[in-house]
Amino acid sequence: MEKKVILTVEGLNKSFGPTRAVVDMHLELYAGEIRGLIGENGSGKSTVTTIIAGSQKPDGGTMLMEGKVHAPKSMLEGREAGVCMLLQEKGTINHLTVSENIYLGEEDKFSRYGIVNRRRMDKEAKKVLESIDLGDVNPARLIDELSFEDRKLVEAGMAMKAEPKILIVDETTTALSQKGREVIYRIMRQMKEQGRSVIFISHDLDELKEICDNVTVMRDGAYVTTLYGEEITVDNMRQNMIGRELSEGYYRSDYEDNYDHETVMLDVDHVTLGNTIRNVSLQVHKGEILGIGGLTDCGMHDLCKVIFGLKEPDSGAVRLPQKGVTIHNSTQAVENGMGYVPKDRELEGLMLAASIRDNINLMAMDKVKKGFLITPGATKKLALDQVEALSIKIGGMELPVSSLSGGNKQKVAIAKCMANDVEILIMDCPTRGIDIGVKAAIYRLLEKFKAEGRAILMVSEELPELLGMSDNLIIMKNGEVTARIRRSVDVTEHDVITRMI
Amino acid sequence: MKEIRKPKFMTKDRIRAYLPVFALLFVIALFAVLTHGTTIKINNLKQIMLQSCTYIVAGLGIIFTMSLGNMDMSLDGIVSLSACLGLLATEATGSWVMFPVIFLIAIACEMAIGGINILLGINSVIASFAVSFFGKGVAGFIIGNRTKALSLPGEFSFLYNRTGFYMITIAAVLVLTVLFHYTRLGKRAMAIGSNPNAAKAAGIHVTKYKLLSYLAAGIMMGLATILIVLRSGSTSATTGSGFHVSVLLMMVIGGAALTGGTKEKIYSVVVGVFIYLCLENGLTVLGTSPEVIGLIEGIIFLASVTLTFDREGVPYIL
Ligand SMILES: Nc1ncnc2c1ncn2[C@@H]1O[C@H](COP(=O)(O)OP(=O)(O)OP(=O)(O)O)[C@@H](O)[C@H]1O
Ligand SMILES: [Mg+2]
Repeated sequence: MEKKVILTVEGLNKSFGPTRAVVDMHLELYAGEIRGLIGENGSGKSTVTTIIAGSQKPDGGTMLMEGKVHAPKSMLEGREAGVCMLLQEKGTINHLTVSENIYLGEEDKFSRYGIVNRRRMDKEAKKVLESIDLGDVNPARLIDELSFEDRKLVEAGMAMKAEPKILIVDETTTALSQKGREVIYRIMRQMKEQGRSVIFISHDLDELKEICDNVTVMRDGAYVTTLYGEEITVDNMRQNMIGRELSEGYYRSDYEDNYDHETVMLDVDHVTLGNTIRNVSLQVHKGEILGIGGLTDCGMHDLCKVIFGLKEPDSGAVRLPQKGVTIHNSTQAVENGMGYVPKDRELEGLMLAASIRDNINLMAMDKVKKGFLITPGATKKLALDQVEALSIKIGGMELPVSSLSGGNKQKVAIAKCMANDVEILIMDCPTRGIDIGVKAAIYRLLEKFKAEGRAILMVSEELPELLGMSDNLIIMKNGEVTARIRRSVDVTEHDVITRMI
Repeated sequence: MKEIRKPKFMTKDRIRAYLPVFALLFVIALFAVLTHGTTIKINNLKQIMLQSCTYIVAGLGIIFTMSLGNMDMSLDGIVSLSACLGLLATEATGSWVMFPVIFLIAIACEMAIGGINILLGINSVIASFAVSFFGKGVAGFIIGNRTKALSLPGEFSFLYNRTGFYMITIAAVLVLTVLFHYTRLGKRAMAIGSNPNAAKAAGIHVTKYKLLSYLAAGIMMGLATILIVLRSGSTSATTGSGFHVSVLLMMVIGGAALTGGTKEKIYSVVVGVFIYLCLENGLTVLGTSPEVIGLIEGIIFLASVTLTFDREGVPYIL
């Protein structure tokens, strides 16, 4: 089978100080294929693809696109050469409207005598939004007001508008609900039908198996192998990624009823917040993992914020019966042993420019201090312990968090909570962007917490994870609880999905 | 990430951190040579040291609010208002009441800035300008309506002595270093400056720690005002004018980040003050005109801001 090569990458190298992020990478991308790109956290996937898209420059190596040298100096140049990328992190600009974001740098198209015709721009933007199933979003709204998922989809629309020859999707899907994922899949398939190519980065092996024609594996910044067609199996991918066998047992294996039904740790009592949360009640017990699932706009993400005291509910209350307190703000929540891992790690989870050490210590200052002093020795030790416990891949404790790969950023966000020995853990999409090895480690950690009698509330977009880990599962739709499901072998994903939509 | 090579000694962060110290040594050496040793004569050095005290004390206060990411331009107004009201109170009662009055006024002004910023959501620069204009206005009105100069009673002049000034400054540096780098107050203020949302999501009471930072700033500004009053022996409508700009300039030269965050350092205040004063002193000894000195300071200011501006804090787009 003779296939047309659209992009060739040869001997690509990139280092950040002592960290060798990409080592002699090579890649041949065919026209009309969806190519998966996989590897553990920090294996260099984002670095390689951002180089292809033009947002970083390689230290050495050549790239050929359709026979011509491809050396974009910026993402704009990359775009002109026909490469568009959906970034792993935020790719839209706050304080601008949706249509301004979509037509950023192209306002000339809509302006006469230097005045931008907003009506026309909004109208065109509307078409772009319709192409990504966001027809009901008003293009004149500020992009900040959109949910994380919708912002990502707008980015996809922006990319498609440029009609790229190569579309790079960097781990966008793990943050999206089923609906958002479908849109991205559709876009990718559309690209393929038109004989154009997609590079798709993901940690969800089932999804990769489903979508990709071929899958390239990276490890420690280097090319390992490429799996073609039939060779793409979950086991095969896993082995090549990690370079060793992964022990069985990804999720929990027990199905017994093994938490303390008598001790309520967290009591959410008829909470209502505008139109997003309607009369939601739930309880989390000692040693229980309570999962919450639903579409992304079902209110579950806001529910986390209300429970943690970041948003005041219109009515109802959040109580911690064991402490006899009602939560009104996040300070109180933390003082009473709660921890929160937000979904949007860049905006709420991390101080990007601050060092890894400062980030891990952010929540645990009360624990670290001796008398009223916080010593460098103590903060260093705490951070080292966490880096080890979660096997966070770092170049040095004092480097800024912004230098970490996506998955490792997420681990720092989790480490911040762990460091404070929380008793009630609120996790919003905790394994977003984390590779399978570490995912398994986090699941083991959750089991350990459960055994230690802590209470865990886990919101997730990933059904297998919810089914695999929760003692009880709550499904939400339009701000209301539509189903409460007990842990059992018999529950299938299908049962759950029907309750969600 | 195949192998981690031995960390290099000179990383970008280290250079950023040490550059001001090298710059200070360089400035001292340069002018020592150019002026054939005049600038490092003991009397000249004593002069610089004495000058540095007020700037350092004021800078120690400003670094707290700056670490929040809140720029504070109120220093000159606070100095003139608290000095004026303090001396007025002492004149009226003939007692030492000026000391608490100065502190109280300075603290009230800073808390007002913090309060306006938090409650009304008004940008801290604007809030601090507002308070500053208010302070200058009131002080100018009071002093303008008097026929007699507002001056320090003779019985307090003994408080003005070198050793006392040095001791107070050194103590302030030590206490504030501990507060800023080794307690929750400083660390949390810096966290708020880094990312207020993340700070809140980590259970930090943003309002409380903002106000505490403004309280610390107020106390230090009160102390700075007292030093100024003791040194000049009186106050006029122009006392303190331009002070805020000089202090800000010094801090930036010393490597303080205008955007706040966890990389703020106390020593950038101390080092910055000395670089600036040594530079100004050296140029003056050389007979440079004040205009040229201003120009050179401006250039150095720009260079420092460029060097300390933290790109990593800004999420990259395109
Ligand atoms: N700006 C930077 N400064 C320093 N190190 C960096 C920088 N960007 C990336 N790195 C390092 O390069 C390595 C590769 O990072 P990269 O983001 O490409 O990983 P990734 O494969 O995308 O991982 P993930 O699945 O977690 O997103 C990591 O060890 C990371 O810490
Ligand atoms: Mg990545």
